[in-house]
Amino acid sequence: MVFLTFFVKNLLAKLQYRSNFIGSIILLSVIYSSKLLFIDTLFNYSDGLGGWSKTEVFFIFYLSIIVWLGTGVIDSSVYSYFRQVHSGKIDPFLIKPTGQLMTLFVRWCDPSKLIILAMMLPLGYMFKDAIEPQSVMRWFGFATLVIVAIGLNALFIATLNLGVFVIQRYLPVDFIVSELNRMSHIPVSLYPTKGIEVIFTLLPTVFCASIPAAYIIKSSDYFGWVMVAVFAVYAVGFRIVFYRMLSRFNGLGG
Amino acid sequence: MGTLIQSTKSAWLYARVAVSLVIADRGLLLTDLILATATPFLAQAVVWTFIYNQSGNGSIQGLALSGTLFYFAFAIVMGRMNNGYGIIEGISDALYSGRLEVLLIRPFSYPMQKLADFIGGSFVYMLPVSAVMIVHAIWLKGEVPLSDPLYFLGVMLLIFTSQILCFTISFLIGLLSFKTVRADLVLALQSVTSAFFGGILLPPEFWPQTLRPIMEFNPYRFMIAAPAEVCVTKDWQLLFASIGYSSCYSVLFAGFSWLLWKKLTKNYSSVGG
Repeated sequence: MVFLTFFVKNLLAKLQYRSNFIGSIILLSVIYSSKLLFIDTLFNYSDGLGGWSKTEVFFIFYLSIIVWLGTGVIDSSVYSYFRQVHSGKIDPFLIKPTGQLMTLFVRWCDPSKLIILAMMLPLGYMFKDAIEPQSVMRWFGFATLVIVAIGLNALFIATLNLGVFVIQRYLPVDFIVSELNRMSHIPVSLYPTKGIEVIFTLLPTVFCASIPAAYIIKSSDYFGWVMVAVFAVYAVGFRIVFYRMLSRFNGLGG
Repeated sequence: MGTLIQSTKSAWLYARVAVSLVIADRGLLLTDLILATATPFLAQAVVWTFIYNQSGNGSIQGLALSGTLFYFAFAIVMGRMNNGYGIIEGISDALYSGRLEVLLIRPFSYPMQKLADFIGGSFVYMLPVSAVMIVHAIWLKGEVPLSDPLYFLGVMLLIFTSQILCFTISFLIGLLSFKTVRADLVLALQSVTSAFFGGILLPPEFWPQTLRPIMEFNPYRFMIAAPAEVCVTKDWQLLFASIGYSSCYSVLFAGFSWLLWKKLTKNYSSVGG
């Protein structure tokens, strides 16, 4: 119930700033079109990136848009939470009955991103020829992987933000993540095969779109399982470390 | 003469404070230097190494693989240095918090304060640029364009004019905050456009024919791509042309800024705070 209240309240609050919302849509379309032009031009010099055709790479890019819009709903709450931490305003939230994980992931969420997400979803129809007919189970697995990717991104951002507890000041996580995001259109097969699992564990956001795409287009299950495993590691690890750090946290901020 | 010495002293002071500020923010500086340069470079390196190996003919638009990779390295560090974010944010922030009047009545004029501040901060960002220059020279065993002292001076002159160009264009954009007050959107837009038009995504010659004119003659090219191109390939003609174009653009944007600045500060009445 608390979840729903936060969700609806945040949605209404966001929609109050209409010009801001429209501005962000314009900004996103500029970003997306420049990236599209870039990928298109890459294929003037190559007829396939690591066995992926132009349409398939466009599909990875499309999927990264979907995953990042989904992440955007949650991560704005995470950023707000840690902004309260380093500016010394988190204490009142610690004594509220709402659980800390709920406060962290939902209290300041941005559901307006779901509207943009809903606008983007129909575009997926353009890729109907790129994907061979698949069983219902595989489509179900694919949808699960996309949701896991969104959760993993949010957990990764939250994990990086844990540094705020230590240094008690602003940490440029949004900047770090947007820089990593530049690599999200690259197919997994372009990376060196040795030690890819280690890179994946350390920087999961880099692969958040290419792994679900590989699962549905190339029927490669292995990385899908790796992604689920890494998600589990992050979820359990984050919960333990977060509560431990929170209980020892002595806010000086302000 | 007295005023000139006084201004030089002030400018020096502002620049020195800017250097200390950048260095004091060590965590930010480190992420900026390591992450913001490493990830875009890796993203390009992964893709282009594959494309060069696949095509097998060793040269694309006259650039070998190492040339292309060094181009990206130079373009990315130039893009970090010629980054108008701080200028635009500073103007918008001063307006929003109502601090502009205080800055305006200082004896050293506000645009000059910002310029000294920007150039000072850039000294620190010259370090990664020099680092790439040194790695480039070692990698190619000294057989680099910059080994010619005269050409090196020319490149330095271009880097200097590109700084001025970055300042004038960002100041002009920053003046938009007189209308919008908060510049978040403008800031985000400017970082995308400078990466796209500046040549961090692709060198200007790599774009398809139809986009070529925009990519070759837009001001961002002379801010980011041109210094990178002349560092990788020895091209006196491009070097002179770029110095010329960036100076012309600087004068143009400085003129616009001056007119707008006169007009805006005359009618400006602060409500911020």
